[in-house]
Amino acid sequence: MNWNNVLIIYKKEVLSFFKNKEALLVMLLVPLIIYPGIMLVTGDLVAGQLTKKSKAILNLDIVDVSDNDSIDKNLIGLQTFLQDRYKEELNVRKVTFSIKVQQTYKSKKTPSLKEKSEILLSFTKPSNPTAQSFGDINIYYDSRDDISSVAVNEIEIAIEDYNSTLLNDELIKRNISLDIINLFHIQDFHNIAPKGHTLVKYGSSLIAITLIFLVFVSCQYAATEVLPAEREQNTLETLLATPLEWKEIIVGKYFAIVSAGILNAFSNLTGIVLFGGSIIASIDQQSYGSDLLTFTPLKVFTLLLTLIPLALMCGSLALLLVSFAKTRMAASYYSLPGMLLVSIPAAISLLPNTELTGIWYSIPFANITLYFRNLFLGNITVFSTIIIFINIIGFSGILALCSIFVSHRKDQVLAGGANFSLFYRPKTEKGSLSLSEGTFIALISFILFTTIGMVLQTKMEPWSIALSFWGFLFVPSLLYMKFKRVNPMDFLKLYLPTATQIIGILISLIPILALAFIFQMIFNTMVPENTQSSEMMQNLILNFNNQYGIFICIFIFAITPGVTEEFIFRGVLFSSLKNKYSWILVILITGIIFAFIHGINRAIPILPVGIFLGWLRYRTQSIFSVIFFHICFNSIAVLQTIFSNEIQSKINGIAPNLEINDIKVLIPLVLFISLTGPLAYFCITKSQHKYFNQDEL
Amino acid sequence: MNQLDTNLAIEIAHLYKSFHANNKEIKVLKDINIKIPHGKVFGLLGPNGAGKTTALRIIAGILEPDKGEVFINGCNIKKNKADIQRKIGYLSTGTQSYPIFTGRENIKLFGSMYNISKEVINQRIKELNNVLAFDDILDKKCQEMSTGQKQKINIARTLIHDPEFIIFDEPSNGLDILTSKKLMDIIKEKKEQGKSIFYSTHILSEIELIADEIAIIYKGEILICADKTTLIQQTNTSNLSEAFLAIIEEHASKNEDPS
Ligand SMILES: Nc1ncnc2c1ncn2[C@@H]1O[C@H](COP(=O)(O)OP(=O)(O)OP(=O)(O)O)[C@@H](O)[C@H]1O
Ligand SMILES: [Mg+2]
Repeated sequence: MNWNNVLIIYKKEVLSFFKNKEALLVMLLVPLIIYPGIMLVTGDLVAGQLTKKSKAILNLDIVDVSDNDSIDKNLIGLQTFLQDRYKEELNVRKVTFSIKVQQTYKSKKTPSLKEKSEILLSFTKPSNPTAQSFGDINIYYDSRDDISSVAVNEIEIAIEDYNSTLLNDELIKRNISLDIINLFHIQDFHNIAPKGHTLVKYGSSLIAITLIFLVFVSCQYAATEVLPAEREQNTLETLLATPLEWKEIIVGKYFAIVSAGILNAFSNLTGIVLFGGSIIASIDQQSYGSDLLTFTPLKVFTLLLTLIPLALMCGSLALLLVSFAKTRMAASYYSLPGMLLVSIPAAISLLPNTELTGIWYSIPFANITLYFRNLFLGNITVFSTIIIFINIIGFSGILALCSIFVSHRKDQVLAGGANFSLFYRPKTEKGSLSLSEGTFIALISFILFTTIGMVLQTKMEPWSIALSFWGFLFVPSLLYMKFKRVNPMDFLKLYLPTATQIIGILISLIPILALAFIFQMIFNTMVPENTQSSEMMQNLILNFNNQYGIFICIFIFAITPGVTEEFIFRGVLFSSLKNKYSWILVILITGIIFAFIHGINRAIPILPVGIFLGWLRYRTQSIFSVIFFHICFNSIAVLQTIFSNEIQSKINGIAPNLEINDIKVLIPLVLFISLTGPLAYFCITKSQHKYFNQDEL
Repeated sequence: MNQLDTNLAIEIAHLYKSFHANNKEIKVLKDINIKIPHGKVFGLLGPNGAGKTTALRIIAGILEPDKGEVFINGCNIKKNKADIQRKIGYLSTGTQSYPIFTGRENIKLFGSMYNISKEVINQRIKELNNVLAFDDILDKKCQEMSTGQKQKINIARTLIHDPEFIIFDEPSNGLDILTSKKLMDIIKEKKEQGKSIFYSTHILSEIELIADEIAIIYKGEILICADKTTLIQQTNTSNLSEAFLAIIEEHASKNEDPS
């Protein structure tokens, strides 16, 4: 790469930005107008939204009313339960909490907290002795402290857990069965931080979102000017005829886009420092002190520094989006999804109690919104700055590489839209199924499977489950092939994998399991209450094991889905799609449908498995290798469920919660993947069975 | 195909190219073979949509062929694209100048991409101005120019690095008779300097005037490749346009016969 050439292109693009005076003015002036507007108009609006949410009350007469001590006893029980549960974390997080019993039901005064990191659970005893619950808990916390905001959420879960253990004991004692009951009921969350603080917090988020949005729009504008506009005005070909390489051209253009973003970001910063900040600070001065949104040199410096990765990230996304566009008009259509991509994560980060922790660090645009918010609030650490920088630069690097790759594909540089050939496979083989037929049969099977099949499955008998799979996934694909008279050997790839490949498949179980586990973890952090469906599955397996034994279990839960699902997904659907689309797309489509047929809750952890299966089918050209992997994978899950349960019941009779949501687990998992993954890849790709068709690769 | 003849300025061997649009494959070039010696003007004649521009784009290194090789001065364009492109001047309807820049800015910008010093660029602009007479428009923005004025700037831009191989795709587009004639003069002058020129058009009078050898391309195939007099003799016609029509008609009827 000749950087001189990059510089020529960069200079040219920047010069043409400056020649377009109107756009430049808009880019520079809008931020100066928008910030005071935002703060004046939306400040009150946001504050008005923050009314308390109360929950529905679900009470049950479980307390022995004659036993006056039982409520107190349970209250102490709750306290110990919470303390035990958070013994470790409380030390780490420096959150203290206390339970205070308010004797009178009616008088609820807002108690004061001694420290920010204190959470107060105020318990109100029912005044009427015949009342049907333990009473209500009010939780007081201070949102000025981010950690306690997070801790409050956890305490809510803890109280529910305590309730259910309490309930369990009671139910066993009394021999009754009931659904969900809350004994201690959380009535309200009370944020005792001054109102102004909330306003500042949300105001800061809004400023952050606006900043990011405006920078993205500027990048999008610049990106439109540097690529689709060149296609539109027939100048791209002129550039391509010069000795400059496409790499150099696109990198020069990328830096020009980023510069436009930075320029706009500067103007944003001026707007924020001059207007937005001072307005908020003046609202809040009395109640909160002046350290919020006043800009010390250090703060401004950090902001300046962070604007660069922000512009890099927005620039990469913008370039990636417009590299598909032939005209400015088309680019503006492509920019819509871009704006959504930017603003949705940013808006999600506005949700109450969202803090820059854990997975939020890696969610593009949400991470930088939260970071900017914290920066405005004066809450950032060196650690979070470093992590944010690494995340953002990594992400924008990947996007930028993608856009260079996408726009680099030979003929597509000129033509723009033809980039879709990345996903499109023009060759059609003679005598093969058409796309619509294959999709149709697959669809019919899915519909049958998800309707009649699911009804059958609810019977929870081995035969009903087996029938739903074999009857609605397997038989239609066989019938269809018979009817269409395709050659099943080639259509389904009924070829055996080689011994090396089988070893490779066995090895690949390790990284794929690890990947599925990581995806599960990510999913759990995003959606905490999704253990239900997997518990249901586990119970089903355990139940079957007790009734029919381990082999029936393996047959029903491993062999049956292994064979039938693969026939339809990696067989009929895969072979039909591949005539029309490129491998990447076929693998993605089959993988995604495969993941979602397992239910929304399990779709995300299953997605890497689905994609791997697609790749395996593509690379080995053998359906048996996929079936083999699928059976092994499911068998491991079945055996793990059965044996972990047996071991656990031997140890202490109760199954402890095996949730691992710690980021530390990632390290060995990544290690597993990086060690075994390449080995498996090597084994699988090294050898080929003798009917292997090289042309299909 | 692998025999490299450095005496040849441009050699095209078994070139194939197709596009995919709306799920259909359009074969635009089918087995194109062309050999152009140094210091000659080669004319490519063909009706609209014959594949002229596509062929020229491949030669200029803008598109990649599906199959086949392009050798410029004996070098495969795939291997040393940047170095070869440095010696090529390519002008077509698709190579416009930046509308937001002035003519001079455009010429200088592209000059700088060929690593030419400012003095040389200014010198060349002066020389080209003597022939093309674009003094009055040089500092106008291209978006404010007429088609012919733009084309003058485009021609100057194409020749700014004094290319050894000149590829012109309908360069007289929008030019008046006077300027067209000047363009012909430039081409003749370049030829005398030993440069090789690949000239594609559907205007027969231009080809007639300058081309040493003429190829007729029709629906992606080269029907014939010869000099003007042979063309006319072979078809028993009196001039080039008649010869052109005769060849195309003959080919069209040949293709219809079997069906
Ligand atoms: N990017 C493209 N995608 C699809 N088809 C294309 C593309 N470029 C050219 N074609 C098709 O290729 C054929 C040849 O086009 P080409 O531009 O080479 O013709 P031409 O001989 O230069 O015609 P003209 O004299 O009108 O300039 C045309 O049928 C055209 O539709
Ligand atoms: Mg053309």
